[in-house]
Amino acid sequence: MAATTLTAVAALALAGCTSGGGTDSGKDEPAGDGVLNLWYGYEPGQADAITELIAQWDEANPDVTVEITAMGPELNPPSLLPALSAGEGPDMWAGTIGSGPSQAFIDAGLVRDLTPYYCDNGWNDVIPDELATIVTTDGKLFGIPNSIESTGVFYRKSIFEQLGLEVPTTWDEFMDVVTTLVENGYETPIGTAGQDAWPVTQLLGAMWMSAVGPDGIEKTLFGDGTWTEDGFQQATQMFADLQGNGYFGPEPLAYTYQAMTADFYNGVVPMTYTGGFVIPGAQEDAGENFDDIGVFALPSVVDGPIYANASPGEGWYVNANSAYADEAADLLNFLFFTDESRTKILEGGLVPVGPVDVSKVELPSVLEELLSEQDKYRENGTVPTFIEVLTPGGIFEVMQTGVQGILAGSTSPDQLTQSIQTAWETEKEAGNTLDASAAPQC
Amino acid sequence: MARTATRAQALTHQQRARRRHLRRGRRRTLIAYAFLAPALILYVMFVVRPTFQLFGMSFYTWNGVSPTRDFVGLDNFKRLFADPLFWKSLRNNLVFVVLLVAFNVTVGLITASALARATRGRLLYQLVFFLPVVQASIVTALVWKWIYQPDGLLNRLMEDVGLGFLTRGWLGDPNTALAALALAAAWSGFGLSVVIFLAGIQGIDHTLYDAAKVDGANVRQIFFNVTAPQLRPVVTVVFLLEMIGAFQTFDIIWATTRGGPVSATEVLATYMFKRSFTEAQFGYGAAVAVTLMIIVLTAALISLVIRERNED
Repeated sequence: MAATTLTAVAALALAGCTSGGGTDSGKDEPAGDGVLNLWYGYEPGQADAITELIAQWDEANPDVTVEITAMGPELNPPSLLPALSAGEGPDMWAGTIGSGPSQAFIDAGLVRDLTPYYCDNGWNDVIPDELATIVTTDGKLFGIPNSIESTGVFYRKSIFEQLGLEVPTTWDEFMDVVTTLVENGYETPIGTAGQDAWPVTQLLGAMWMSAVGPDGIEKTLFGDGTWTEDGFQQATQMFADLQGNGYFGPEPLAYTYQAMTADFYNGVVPMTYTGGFVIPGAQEDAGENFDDIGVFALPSVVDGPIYANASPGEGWYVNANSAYADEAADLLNFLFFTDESRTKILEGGLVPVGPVDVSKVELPSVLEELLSEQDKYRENGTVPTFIEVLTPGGIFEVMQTGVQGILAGSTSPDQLTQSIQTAWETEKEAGNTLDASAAPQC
Repeated sequence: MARTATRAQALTHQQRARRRHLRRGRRRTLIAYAFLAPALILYVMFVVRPTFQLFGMSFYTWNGVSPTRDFVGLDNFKRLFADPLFWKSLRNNLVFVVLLVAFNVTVGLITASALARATRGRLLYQLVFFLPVVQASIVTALVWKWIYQPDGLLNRLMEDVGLGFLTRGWLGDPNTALAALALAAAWSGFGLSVVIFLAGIQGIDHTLYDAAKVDGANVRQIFFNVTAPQLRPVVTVVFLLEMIGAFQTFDIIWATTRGGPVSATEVLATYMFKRSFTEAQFGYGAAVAVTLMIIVLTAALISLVIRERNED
């Protein structure tokens, strides 16, 4: 995967005012009265734009009823495994993208090859090749990414205004903002949910990307680069310095993501590094403070260019043994490849894959700022948002443990990068790292 | 002659009676086996067979769903024993077992003794202590997660009693997280120990207590010289149950810390779950499960042997 291709992933996520690539569903004759089972990674009872769209599709397709089982992202993979391996399981499901269980399902032949639908329905015009490669195995497309995720520094505008702070564009300016916040009594200027590990690992990941850039991460993931090279070392050291200076607060490891976001919404924590995925929930949880939330891109840690970032959200898959594969593909077509649906998904706070006419959409203010910030730096190149999508599960585990070690003061930056490199070599040798495969040819 | 015939007749009667007895015995045995058979079949199908399959799986690399798997011999075990995180998980598990068993056996025994002497409200106390046992473990985990938060109940209570200098995020500190979770797990299982001990105490012959009282023994002496020795078999049962449960602990850790921070609460069950379900390495996960099973069986056997020797 080339750096330019990563750029294209995000380019399609944003602001384009072109018409959509949606096509007619091309639906075959219905299979009769039946139930299309969908296992959904969201929490039970959580209503969002996608569930509303599914209800719409359901209404328009009386021959098939979609039954959604929402069991939360924790239970979905462990439940899928025995169900699918027994030749049962849902007709379609939403799950993780990348190596790990999803790749295991694909390798075992349990996931439907969606390439014919991809080619026949014009999905290839909507999904950029660079994104398609992430859900492609042996030249066949097995999953549909539902959204593009980007991250940035979320901050409370009123606190910045009150203290006369400007949005920083360089690391020095960022440090000035942080020290001013500390001087004014904010003991946790940068909120990090150290106890849950993944949010703070996202921040370190963003610092790595900032230091090595699109070419550097490309070289490491798909070439002969290592995790111990200078850029990674320098960024990790700077991350450790943030902790050393107390900028993550007195006890970052005691903070869960839930507690940290609550403190951010309440104005106790003025800044936190997070992503667009927080926006749908924030609309409700932050209440009247929602409009006070702003976003800026993390300044470069090496005084270089700021890069845009983008990664696919969840992948949607169809069971290879489903009797309703055509209906499932038709539902995917409706959800992610029609202008109306993509617009609705965007209004709900998720950035869909493919073009959306934003002039017709009333976006949540914070999402608009996030997209605008990404757009501002896109010409510098785009880096992945989620390193875990592109690395085996074991690597992310090592990263999370190491990050917690830095927060606890028990792991040095050198030890962290070295442990990642060691794990990376093991996974690479076992053939568990992603190949830079090509998108399906139609 | 007649006497001989009578004796022969008597012998025949005895033989017949013995035969009848044997036949009846055999029939009873057959009926017993017939009643046992369904349970035995289920046990073989759902316990013995999967256990052997697990052993078999530990010699392969397998992603959990693929129709093919590669035989790798003892490679999974070699990799396991070379992984520092495995040893850390094992150490954490042992600490967890010691803390949990020590709490539930000692405090459970003392509480049960006190309850046995109580004349009023015994049932109420039993219910109160037993309530966490019937509570879903995920609820227990969430309750304790809230208690241990930086602004949670524990820290607020400590501040109220002048111990504010000791407050911390209990689950966020690698030095306290494991002990904090062991306490939470002990709280949820402690009621069962109390009920078992109480049943044991109520089964002790009361004349022993009467004799001890006549001899002028005080409460402490009665506990150590009558109750505790008489309860030795019950203590072994509670010890084994608690130990096995503590080795298998998963849900309370997964719902709170997921093995963190910095692997401070990683135990063999969470280590196994991550390898299997996050990384799709089911062969390796099976090797962890087999190792855990061997450790638990060995520990159980050792404790049973020690008990037998003590009884001898």
